[in-house]
Amino acid sequence: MITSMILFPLAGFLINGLWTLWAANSGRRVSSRVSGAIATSAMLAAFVSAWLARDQIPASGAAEVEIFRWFTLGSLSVDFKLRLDALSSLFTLVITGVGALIHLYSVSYMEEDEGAGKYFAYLNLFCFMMLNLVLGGTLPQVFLGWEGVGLASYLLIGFWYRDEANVGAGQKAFVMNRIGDLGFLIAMFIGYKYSGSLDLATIEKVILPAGVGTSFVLLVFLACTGKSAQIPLFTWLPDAMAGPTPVSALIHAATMVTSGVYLLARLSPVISQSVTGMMVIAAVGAATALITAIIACFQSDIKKVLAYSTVSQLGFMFVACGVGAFGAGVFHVMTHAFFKALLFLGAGSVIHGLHGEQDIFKMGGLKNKLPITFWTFTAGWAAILGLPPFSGFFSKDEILHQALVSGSGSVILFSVLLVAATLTAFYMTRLYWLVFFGSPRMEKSKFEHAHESPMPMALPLVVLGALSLAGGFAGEPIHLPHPEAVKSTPAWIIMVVSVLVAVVGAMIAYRRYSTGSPRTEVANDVFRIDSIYSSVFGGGLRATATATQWLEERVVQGIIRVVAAITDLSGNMIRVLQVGSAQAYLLMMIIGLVVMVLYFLKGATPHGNF
Amino acid sequence: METSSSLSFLLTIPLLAMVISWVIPKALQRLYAVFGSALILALTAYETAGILFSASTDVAKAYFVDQRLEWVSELGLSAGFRLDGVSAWFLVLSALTTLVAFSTRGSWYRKQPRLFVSMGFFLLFALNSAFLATDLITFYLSYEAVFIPMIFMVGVWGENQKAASVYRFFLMSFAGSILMLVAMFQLMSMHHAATGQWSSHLADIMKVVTAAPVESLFWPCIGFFLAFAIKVPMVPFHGWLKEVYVNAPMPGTIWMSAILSKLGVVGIIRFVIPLFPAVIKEYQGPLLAISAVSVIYAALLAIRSSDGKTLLAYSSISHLGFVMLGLFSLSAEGSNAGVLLSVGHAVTSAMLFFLLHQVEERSGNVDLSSSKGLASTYPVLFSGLFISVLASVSLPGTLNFGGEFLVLLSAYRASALCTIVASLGVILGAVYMLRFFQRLGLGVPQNSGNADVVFKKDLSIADLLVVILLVVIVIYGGINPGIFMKG
Repeated sequence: MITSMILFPLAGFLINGLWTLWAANSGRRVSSRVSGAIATSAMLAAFVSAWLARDQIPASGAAEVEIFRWFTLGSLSVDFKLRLDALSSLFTLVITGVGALIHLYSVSYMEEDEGAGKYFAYLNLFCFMMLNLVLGGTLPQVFLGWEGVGLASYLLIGFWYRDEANVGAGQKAFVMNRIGDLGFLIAMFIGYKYSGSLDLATIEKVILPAGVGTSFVLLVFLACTGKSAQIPLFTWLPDAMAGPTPVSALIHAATMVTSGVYLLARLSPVISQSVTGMMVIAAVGAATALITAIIACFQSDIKKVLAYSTVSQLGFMFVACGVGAFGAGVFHVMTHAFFKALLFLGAGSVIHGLHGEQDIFKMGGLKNKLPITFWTFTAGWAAILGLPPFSGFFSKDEILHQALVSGSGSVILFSVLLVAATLTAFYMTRLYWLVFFGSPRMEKSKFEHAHESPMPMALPLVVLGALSLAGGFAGEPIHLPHPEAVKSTPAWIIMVVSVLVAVVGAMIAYRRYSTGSPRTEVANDVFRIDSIYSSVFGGGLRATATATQWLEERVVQGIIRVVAAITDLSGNMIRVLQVGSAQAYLLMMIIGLVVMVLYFLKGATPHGNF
Repeated sequence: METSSSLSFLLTIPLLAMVISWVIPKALQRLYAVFGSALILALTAYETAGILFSASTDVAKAYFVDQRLEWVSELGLSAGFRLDGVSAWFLVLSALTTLVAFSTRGSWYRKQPRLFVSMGFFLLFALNSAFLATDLITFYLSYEAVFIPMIFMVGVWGENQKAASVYRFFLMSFAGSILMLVAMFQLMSMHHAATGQWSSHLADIMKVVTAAPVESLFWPCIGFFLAFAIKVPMVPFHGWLKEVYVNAPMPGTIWMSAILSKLGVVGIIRFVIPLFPAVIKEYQGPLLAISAVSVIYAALLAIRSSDGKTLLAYSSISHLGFVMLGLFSLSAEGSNAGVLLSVGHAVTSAMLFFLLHQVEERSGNVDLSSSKGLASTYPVLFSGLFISVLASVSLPGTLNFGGEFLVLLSAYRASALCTIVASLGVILGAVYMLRFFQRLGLGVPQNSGNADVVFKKDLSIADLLVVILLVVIVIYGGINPGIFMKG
């Protein structure tokens, strides 16, 4: 069951991939319905496998399936093996479950697209890699998944590759992720140096010397900031919205971007050893949660709001990890996967219904035009605000609680998150209102042609809506060690406060945007982070490359020119070379050999070896 | 199968193919070259299969086939060859590279095709002989013989007919081998002084060298090292490369980047490190440093490159910097990983240059200053190109990942700093390779407007088979890289 979980998406990828190539070569078109059905069935089968595989997990520990020996080097041997425990099982269920729904949704969403076959191949490839990431039993295999999802993300962001902006966004994502991956690589070198192994089972238990431990944690966290779009490597995620919307829902909201939380939870025994490392994680998480929530308040593109919101929510999860409440972080991964996938798919349904419109200031009044989308979106909205009894309430409340009461928690962390939660309620209500309520602000014909999405799109919305509503009652799905609570603040006070700030944020947004003509406050690059990055790092790289080129042309090539000039002076050799090149060359070689033989003869004779 | 007859067979069959090419009609030369080299590849793989697929990881240490022919025994002039786990793979690689190089199309099959094909087979012979040599003189002769076909390549079928300037760059390479020859003299004299016998066989020399004082080995070591550092090349000995790569015809570039560079790698593995361990150990720091600098320096130049061929040329230097990092970590692990990455680099760069050649045939140039948008017109070609780009950026699951990862893992123990610096190449590699692919394949399709464009179609079946063979190696090697590690 564990193996079949990864084989189904792999098979789907190969079938659709080869079919697409064959069709492209013979000038045929791949049927979007058939390729979609293949890909969706693969994911459904994977979900069933993931569900059944839960029975194989031993009461404590993990089920391991060795598939083959990947590589051996000296005393190191790395197996390709799958490792299923409570943590990875939860992730596999989210990946395959939400994945299957999004595949189904895509069947309709991508119906008109010529590249549907390729699209489904990539989507299956993504799921295969994502499953490798969470099931990998060794760090290199996790890294295979880690880079593999980055590849799929690159391919899908730049899916409409004729538009160079999309390609650029894909490249930006890939390169920024690679910066993080460097952290992963070096962390592996350190882990290997101190544990002599790259097996997760061993690495998890390794005790690192203090300074090394902190470097290890910070390097792992660098990898997480890339994949999970945290400060400083978060700017690729908003650009990643260039891809098709279901891709944003699956990769850039529900699954791939939560890999960082997975990795920290997976390595939690090692991570917790470094107090400094944990502090950095919590601080970066909180700063990201706040800053991107502010940016989200100024966006006009429906997908960009959701993208910044995702970054902000991931910040919440990292705060949880940073204060040692890995379980709370993982809980929020799960509920967030439900409601954020739902919100993205809902946004996709709106965009689809309006034939490509993404500006929320050109929407409005769609609640009756798109009833299923509206009601399910409402569930997602309530969940992200954290209104009881919606799923987000339980997980967000848990994070807020831990940020205050745990040993490494503090009032500052708690307050920052509280402000971020208020802003979340503000920008989500702003979006919710501008899209569904008020009077329509698009051309009349567009409004009249707006239509509810077909069944394959509506069904995933309904399922995810139900999960967003009820998913929180599951409670923390896995039991990772919890931090000791050192402060005694009653849980109910925090609960009340967190609901209160959500209501306040929502009320402010309602008052600002429920008027007849809402103010269009928009600023895309609020803190100018993108432009600073591109001038500092982009410019820095260009300058270094230019300097290297100068060095190459002036110094290195210059020396060669000087050497060549000297050779020119030293007789006619160069001219001989030019005239009868090969012959001259052979001649030189033979002369060399003759000289050598003579040298030996001369040297050999006196010793009388003959 | 590993008998001495198989060794002579492997050496003579390319010579035989060369001789046959003289009687093949001009029109059939390409067909003959492709099928001939494919046959040689199959025979090489068959003859060496026992070593290639041996479960033992220790084959290099056991001399599988060791042959020694005395020429002038009084002078110690002999020819020695050894077939083992490392040389077997390089024999397969040189046959594979020859097949890929012969599969190109261009002026070399129109202008003096017989010369081209016979030179190609001669090159294969010289390469095999160099990879197998265990004798200094045999190695030197084979190593030098490799130059002859390359000079013809650039001189007769060179791109810009700037032969004169190109020869200067060959001179740099040539200077390196002269230094090596001098170093060989010195070692042989040392052997004579110590034993009263002349010998150029590596095993004999080794005995003397291990007993010799370290100071006396410094200059011979420099001689060997410089020859190979220029051949690979390592920064700052790479000055000759760009001009030669860019002006050579595509098959020449394929041979140079995929397999000729490995002469340097094998030279370091077989001669420099075993003969001069103490000297190398003493200078390990600087050697690791220039390896890391090679990675970064060449990657930065690749970022600035404005045409595909130059970009790939610099990317080659960058990847070989990783190989050197592995070798100079001076551990069995690092050296094995270096061999693995060499194999990966050979296959990947053969594939990249071959597909770049296909792109050039379809668009007339490989300029990278603006996007060509060719991927939608030639989906199969660009799928192959994309896989080779992924291999080149060492994505896990490709052959190159195992090599690069294990090189860095081993090198980290020798020098954390150099390893971290070299690892930055992982990011830079992604920057330039993605740009490379984007400029050629993505964006809105442009009309090349080039009348010379011959092929409007996607890859032909024969070309596709070559690409599939390479892709299979890259992916299979990504899943089971152990097969290439027999050191």
